[in-house]
Amino acid sequence: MDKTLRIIVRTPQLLVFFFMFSCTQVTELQIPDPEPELIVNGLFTPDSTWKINVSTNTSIYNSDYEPTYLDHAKVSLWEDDSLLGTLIPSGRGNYRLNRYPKAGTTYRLLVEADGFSPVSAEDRIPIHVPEIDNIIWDLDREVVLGDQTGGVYTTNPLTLDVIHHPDEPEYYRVQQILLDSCDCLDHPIWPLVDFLDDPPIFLGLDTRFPLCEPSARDHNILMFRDDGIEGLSTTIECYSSDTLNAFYSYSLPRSDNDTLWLYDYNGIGPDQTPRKTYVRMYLDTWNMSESLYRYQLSYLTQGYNSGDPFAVHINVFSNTSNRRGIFAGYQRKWFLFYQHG
Amino acid sequence: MIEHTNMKIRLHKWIWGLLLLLLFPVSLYPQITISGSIQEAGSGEPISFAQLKVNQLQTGAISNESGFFSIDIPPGEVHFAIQRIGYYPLTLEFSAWKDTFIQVRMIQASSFLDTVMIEAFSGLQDVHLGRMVIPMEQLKQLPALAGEGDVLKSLQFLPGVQFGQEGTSGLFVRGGSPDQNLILLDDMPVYNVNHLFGFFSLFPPGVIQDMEVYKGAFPAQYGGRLSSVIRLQVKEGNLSEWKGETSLSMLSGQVRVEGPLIPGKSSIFFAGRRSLIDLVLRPFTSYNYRREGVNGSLGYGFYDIITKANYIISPKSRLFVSVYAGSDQGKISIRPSDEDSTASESSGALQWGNITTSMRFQQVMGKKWFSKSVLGFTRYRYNQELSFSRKEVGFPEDKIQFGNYSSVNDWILKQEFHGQTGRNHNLRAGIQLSSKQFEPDVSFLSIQDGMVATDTSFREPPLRSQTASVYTGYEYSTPSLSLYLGLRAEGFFTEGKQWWSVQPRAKIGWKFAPAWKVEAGYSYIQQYIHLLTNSGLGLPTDLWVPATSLIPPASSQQITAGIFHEIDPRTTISIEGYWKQIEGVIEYKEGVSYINNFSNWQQLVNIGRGKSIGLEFFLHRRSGKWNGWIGYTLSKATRQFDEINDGIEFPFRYDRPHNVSMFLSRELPNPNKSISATWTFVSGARITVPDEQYFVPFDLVDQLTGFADNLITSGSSYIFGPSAVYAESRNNYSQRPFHKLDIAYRTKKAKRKFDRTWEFGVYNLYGRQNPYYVFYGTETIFSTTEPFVRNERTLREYSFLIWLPYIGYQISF
Repeated sequence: MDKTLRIIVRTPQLLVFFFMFSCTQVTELQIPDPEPELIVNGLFTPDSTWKINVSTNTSIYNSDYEPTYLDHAKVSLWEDDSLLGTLIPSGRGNYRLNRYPKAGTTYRLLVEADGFSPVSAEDRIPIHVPEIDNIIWDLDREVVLGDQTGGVYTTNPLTLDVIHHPDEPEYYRVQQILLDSCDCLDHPIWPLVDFLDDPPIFLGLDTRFPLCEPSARDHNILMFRDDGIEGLSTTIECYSSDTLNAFYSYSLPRSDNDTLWLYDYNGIGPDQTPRKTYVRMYLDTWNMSESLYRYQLSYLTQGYNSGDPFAVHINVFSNTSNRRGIFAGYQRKWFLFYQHG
Repeated sequence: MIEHTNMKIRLHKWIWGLLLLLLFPVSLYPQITISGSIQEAGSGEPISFAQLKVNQLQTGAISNESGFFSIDIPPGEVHFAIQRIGYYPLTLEFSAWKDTFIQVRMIQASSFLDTVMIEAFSGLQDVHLGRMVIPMEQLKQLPALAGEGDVLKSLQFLPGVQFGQEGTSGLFVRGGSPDQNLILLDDMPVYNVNHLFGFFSLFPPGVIQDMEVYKGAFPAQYGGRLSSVIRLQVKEGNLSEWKGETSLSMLSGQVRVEGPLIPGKSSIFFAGRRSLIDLVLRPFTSYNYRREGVNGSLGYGFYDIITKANYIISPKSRLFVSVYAGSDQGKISIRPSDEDSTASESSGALQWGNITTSMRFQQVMGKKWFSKSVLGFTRYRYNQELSFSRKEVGFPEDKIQFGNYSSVNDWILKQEFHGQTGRNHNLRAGIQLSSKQFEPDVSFLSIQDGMVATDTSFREPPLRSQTASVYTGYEYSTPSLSLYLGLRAEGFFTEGKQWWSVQPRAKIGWKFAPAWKVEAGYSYIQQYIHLLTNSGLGLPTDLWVPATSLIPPASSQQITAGIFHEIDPRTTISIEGYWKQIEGVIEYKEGVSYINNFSNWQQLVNIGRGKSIGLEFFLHRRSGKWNGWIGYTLSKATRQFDEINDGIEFPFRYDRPHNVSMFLSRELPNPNKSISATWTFVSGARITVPDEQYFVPFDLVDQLTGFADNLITSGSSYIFGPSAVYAESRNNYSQRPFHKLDIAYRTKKAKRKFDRTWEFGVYNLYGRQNPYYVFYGTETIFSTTEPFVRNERTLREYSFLIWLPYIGYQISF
């Protein structure tokens, strides 16, 4: 019986280890190259002339960083069903037409190239530029926030009024960009910053505004559609991430000649006033077509999910006939504002 | 106008007359009712689905799930023959001149394999459209992974039922998903039936007395799930003597005891199972931690306890109490070494489990009616917790704890009546009430920073729902014709929202030749709860959620038809076809990471529809020295969501067009030894693999994001490059086919005080490297030549469970 017991006790132990450690095999999978497809990309806005980029798709295993541009395609453009012209290749897959798109007008694109199925797409620029009013960034008011991962941070609320136009659906995007800031009284000896070497900082944005797309908030961009606004203006309270406070202290004005900068190194301005803390901030706002809205959301999400084995795959949205690339219009407006401490 | 009214009155009279005739048929000849219960001799366990035949009338009955039967016959001499697989057949002859209640005791066959079959019985009586009853004794013969027999996994060998990931117990029935299976353990639904992340189910064969599976043509008494009903009945305990079994497999130890509390009156059944993994692993992990200079341990284990007691109040009434409790627990703990007084201590725990309990009272009412009343509660709860602490001598402790949990609680009350309304006419009617509470996801955070303590929990309010169902099912059967008409009406109430549904069920059968019959059926079902899952693995993190005002209930319609042929009384062959349409299925939205997401679950899902169509072939030999089956399924299952895959229909993840399963068991010349084998071939599962990429030009990225080169700056925002990866469709890639052969050899020997059984087997005998999962990612390659660093995409398939021997040991006393 003792012998039997020993067998009973030890054999499973050995077999459990066999089970757990010796039975995984890895196989590299090979996937055949995809059918060749044209990739057409073009965003258009009333502020710039036409530019369309044409390239081709490639295998998932291709590790080249350079796109496979196509310079021998025929790119035709229609405006409200009348041919606007054929775009002229300008190298690196770019095709140009020296005309400005118009807001509210529908454009149709047809790209043809030997060896590829033709690709068409259609879109329009929204009628209105984004209208945002009453931007208030209240540095005196602090809000303590807790995120759902357990993190707690302090932030300053930024409120802005979005004015919606009821005559067409609108799709918004708001991004907060810090150009520079100064807290010179605390750090008078820090050198000036060269703007070219220290580009603007994209600030994290969060909000409790219910219409904002959660997936875009993960990218610190607020994106929302006009559902629920419908002809009204609405106030959005945003929260910059706590990294703002760090940038706020570390950045310095780019030069003494900056028109915003009225103070010398000793903290004394022309009128002998002491130097003050300030922040110079851009609000980058978009009003875009639905196609571009979906394109941006999916593009950001795909990048964010890269390497996450638990993420559900998302294709980048496309409004072209072969479901790759984008042809979409938008209106964009920058709001520059300052905050003095 | 008067004529019209008279016509209406006449029409109403006809309808009422027809209804009365159907429900309360009156025989023109004198009839008596023979009713009774069929039990196992000795143990007193009720025997369900036993065939009872009245020889002189070419009619018969089948005992219900509680062993009760009732039949109308003319008064006089009665010649009954009774048969059930696994029992010696029985004939009864007696005179009956008035209504009589009898108790029949059948003797269990000494070996399942030597069951004698009565030629007079038709094997067709045991096969039904959309319904399968596989004898438990036959299921015990199946080779099992790691020697751990598993009732639910054995169903994966049946046509129309597929597995998800290899080795796991998830069931995908006729294109449905695991959450669409209603798994009833003693009348109570079980919400998560998995141990060890799905590798084993909660139910070893030794605790289950009966199992009945419906894949289609659902009777009206079942509802709430779209794809299948799996009814499991726990053993009820031996009424006359104490018996026991203990067994040891590679992963667990089990003990089962049953016996009389009051001989002949009351009995109890108890089963316990505990995993051995943690006992084996813990010493090794502790040793490894010590080598690294810390005290620590890592463990994982699970347990089950099932107990059931019953009390015979009178020959016609009985009371049952059944309890199941089971849990999985994984723990990791790392503590500072004894010399280090300042190091941090961390620990983590993952735990999930079910509790179900039910009380059932059943009685025979009058001479023809059987009543069953059930009150029960079932709960599933999952929680995980992580904690970190740091303590220095002379300072208060800093500690942070966080985690999350989810749960579903369900109170259920059922009342059902089942009986005869006339010769060949049966009626079943009942009511079910259910009250559920869901806590889909509750996160908590507790911080002890020196002397300051903060406790926070982030939760949505619990979701409560109530379901009320009434149903009735009428059955008419003659030796050549059978008809079932059922109706189930349900109301579901949650968050101030109500859904009502009327669910018709129907089945018709025609035995057009002595050994042939055809059947066709239709069923409509609604399901009011959903399972949020991305894996299909039955992970504990999958969340049960109710239908809400944003997420409506799911529903399905299924049309099924089949032809059945009896080759001999032991062997039947069938071909069934089905067409199923599902509305209201949910899937995570594209782009959602179901681990790294903190949004409300209702914002993360899309609602869509599914379709499946298939043909199932099944050759089944139920007993004999050679027994087993061959099953083949040809099927197609798709999903369609307006917001997924550009609205284009795509293959269901477990759309596997071909599925072959073979099971063969052979009793060797020495009847105490047997061998068995299973062979499975299944088309590969579908996964989404981006197979091409295209580049988004830098200046376009500039436009989108501002500054492409410097984009990796803003908090959690990472854009790794301008290329976009593309998959032609959701689930565009079919993995390699899966196939394997498992074998088992059993040898039994009678010792002085007990019988012992050794079981040896091999899982995946010929070592097929079946695809387990595919990992798609990017790998950074460093080189001494240019380019020094480059990123390469990789697509790797991992195989698991290759050639795995096992051993098991069992003692019965």
